Amino acid sequence: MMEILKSKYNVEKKGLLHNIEEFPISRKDTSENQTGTWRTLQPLFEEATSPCSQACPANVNIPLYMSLVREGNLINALKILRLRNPLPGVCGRVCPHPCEASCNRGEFDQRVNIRAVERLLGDYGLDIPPTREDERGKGRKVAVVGSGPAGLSAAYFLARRGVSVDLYEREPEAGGILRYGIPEYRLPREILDGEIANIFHLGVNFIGGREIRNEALSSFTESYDYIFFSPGLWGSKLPDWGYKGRGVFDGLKLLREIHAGNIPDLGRRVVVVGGGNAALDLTRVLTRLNKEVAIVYRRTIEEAPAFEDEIEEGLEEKIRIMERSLITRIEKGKGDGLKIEIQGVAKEDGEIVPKGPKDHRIVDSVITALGQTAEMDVREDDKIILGGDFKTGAGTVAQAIGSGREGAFTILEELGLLPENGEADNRRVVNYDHMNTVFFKRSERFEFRRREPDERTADFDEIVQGASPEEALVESNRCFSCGVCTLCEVCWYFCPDASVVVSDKGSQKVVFDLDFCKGCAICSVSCPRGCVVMEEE
Amino acid sequence: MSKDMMTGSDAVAFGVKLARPDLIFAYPITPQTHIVETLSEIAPSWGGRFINVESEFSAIASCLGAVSTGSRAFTATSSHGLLLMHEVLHWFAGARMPLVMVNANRAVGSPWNIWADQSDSLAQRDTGWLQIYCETCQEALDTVIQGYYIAEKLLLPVMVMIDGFIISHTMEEVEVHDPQKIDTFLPPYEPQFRLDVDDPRSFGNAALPDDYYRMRKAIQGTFTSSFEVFSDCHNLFENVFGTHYDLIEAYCCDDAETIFLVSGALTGTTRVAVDLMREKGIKVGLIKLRVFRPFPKDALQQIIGGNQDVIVLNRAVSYGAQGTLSQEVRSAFYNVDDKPDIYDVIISLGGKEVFPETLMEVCEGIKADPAFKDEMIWV
Repeated sequence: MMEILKSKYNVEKKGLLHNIEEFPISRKDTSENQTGTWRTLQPLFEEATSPCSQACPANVNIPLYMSLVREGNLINALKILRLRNPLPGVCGRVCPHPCEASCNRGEFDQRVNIRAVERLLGDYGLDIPPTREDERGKGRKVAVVGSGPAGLSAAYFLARRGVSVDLYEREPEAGGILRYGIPEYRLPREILDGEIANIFHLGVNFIGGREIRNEALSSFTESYDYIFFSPGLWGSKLPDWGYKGRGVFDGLKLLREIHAGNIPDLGRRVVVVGGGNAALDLTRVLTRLNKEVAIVYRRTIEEAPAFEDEIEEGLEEKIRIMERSLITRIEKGKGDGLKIEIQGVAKEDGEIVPKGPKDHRIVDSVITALGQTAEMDVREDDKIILGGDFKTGAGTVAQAIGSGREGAFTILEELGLLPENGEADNRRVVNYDHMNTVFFKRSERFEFRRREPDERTADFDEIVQGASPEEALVESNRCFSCGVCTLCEVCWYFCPDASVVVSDKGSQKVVFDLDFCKGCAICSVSCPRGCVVMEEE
Repeated sequence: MSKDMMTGSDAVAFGVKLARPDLIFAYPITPQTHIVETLSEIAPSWGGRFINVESEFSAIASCLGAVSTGSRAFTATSSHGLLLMHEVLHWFAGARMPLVMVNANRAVGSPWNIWADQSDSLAQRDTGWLQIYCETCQEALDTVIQGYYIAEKLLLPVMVMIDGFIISHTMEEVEVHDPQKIDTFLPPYEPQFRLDVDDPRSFGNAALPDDYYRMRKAIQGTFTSSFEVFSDCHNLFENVFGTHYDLIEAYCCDDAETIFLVSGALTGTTRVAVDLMREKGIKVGLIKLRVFRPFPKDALQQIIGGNQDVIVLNRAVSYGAQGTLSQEVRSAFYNVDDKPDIYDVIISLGGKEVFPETLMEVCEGIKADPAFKDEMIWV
């Protein structure tokens, strides 16, 4: 003991090498201490679905194409978009963008203007036809009935695998509701024509002017492997007004006529009945045709089912709306006019019923836009796949595109041709709570510019001006890339055990060294995009 | 090299420049501010990086990180800033990491007081840091360079004290040494231990009681043998730069009946007082205690004899006991047979002015009544 106490510390005069035994430094390499054995929670790298992709009826991988736009790789961004949607130029204009409604950025500052970027990509792709993925469908024949968004979508996804597609259409030109329903000021025909031409470039055989009724359909079951049936909903209900003669028009048929270039004699004073998109479209189209138009709608315009943009633009254009009103009776008036009886409404037992004083007006035409119905009865069977509005009831263009893809994938699956990317995206959805937004800066959303109301009601030219490539780039930079690893390396930076490796090689972008990972979850909490989840072991 | 007029703060900064640390982490506090202000401007001149952190705790903790990777680092602070560092001061010495930190001595509140005393640094007495107190701006510059020499040899941190305002804010003629000579005295730091991804080791992890004890004993062993390193340092410094330094400096002590024992800038005032009293034929001298840790017991015993009175000029108090410096000096002579009388004088706290006349009165008063020997003397 005394010897220990007396022992002097030795200092070499030159160099003064200290003995590691006297320093608080581990004797062995830290790899000896496998701290991973302390772990009860294990991090899993798991890219997930963004809420926008989930909300998209066509299931487009939005964060992925946004990131490609950000990199300036428009061609690949377009490819990603077209994996799910053959009509981005159309959707960039007429889709009510449920993707944006669920954008996580909305809880941070302002939602990303996804539609602006989609529209830019669509326009960019007009001169870049898609190519076939493979020819494995060669020798297979599918009839697609109806060339609206659902039929076009189905034809596209089938033709991409080399399936021979005959696309039947009652009207002379392809497009269905896109061409014969949606006005040009919302969807310029050169955009529609360009995207349809791109689909046809894959080798779709378009047969226009052929209406397929039940008899023809049964013969198709002989000549085709499958039939995708999506004729849309062009029928309508007419209320009992005591008169349905000259001067009373079915709105949807009227739109179809107008867009086919046949404008019937409507007189000057027109009333449109309804509050949906068709009612708004008709009103605005007829305004442009110099008619005096008023909408009669049984609810308030705020409650109307028409898209927000449609209503907003319509109000800017000063359309006249008689809210909470019903036409209760129509009589043939003196001369050419119709005498209409209009009454206010009340709610009784949940039903809207006419109530209050009656008002009478003389108009030249009454146009109904009160919902769409099927024109024929066709059931799905082994060979017939239904799609579009005909299957689902009236929906959006994006829903129809999604339905067309689903139908096509069902057929491809039956034929054993389902592409890998055809599988449904069942991954978890990254919500705002899963994000770590400290890494993001607030920024302003790009807003579309619209032509002045006075100017735009004088013609049918497009109202909304899209984003410039520069503006779209800025907007794509606002995308959080929810659920998509951008190789930002935040997890690597904050891991206290140096147990994270981030690499751009392969889909497993983040790898954990489980020998040393203590399961502290810092990687999971720090990840800005919710790509790391903790799992109990 | 030419001499320039500069404040003690700038002298420190130019000393740091000569030592060229890779990283400087600091948080400004009066009266240290000018040191870090100047460093923030000149650090890029030698490729150093100045990082203004959010607190003194961060400053010293960042230094620990930097030094652990094998970098040379620097920080400076004062008073409450130093107290905020306290936890990491212990850790630094325990980790055996070399660092030079300059502390501009300043009183500690409450009440608020920004003037000089030594309460802040003497309160860190037991943290395992070496402590050196400077009398002049030139000494501050030189001690910073010497600090790195010693710290990197011993693998222990060094605290260099300058008096707040009296040194930090006062200009003096200072020689900034030729940077070409510095490598001879202070070559770039070559760490024996550092965080290394190619040889990954855990630093400062849990140690069992026996290991802990052994490491603590080793720290004391290094302190004990550090006098040899000081000796090497002072010799080499004199050879390269021509100035002699030592652990203590004795002035007029050979025939002195009374010796003032003093540290820091108060030494200058005491020199004047000694000269004035010598003119009157009073046999006084002074000992400047330059190095406080390790405490130079042997050096003091060699100078001070049993027939001499020692007046310890304290600028910090261990309340309920004595002046902090008095305790140290008395302890140094406890086992000496022929002991001097040691007087415990609390001369200045919170910047209270001390004039040569004050010291002369103290000396005369003590001579008049030896009973003062047993008392704490508040001037």
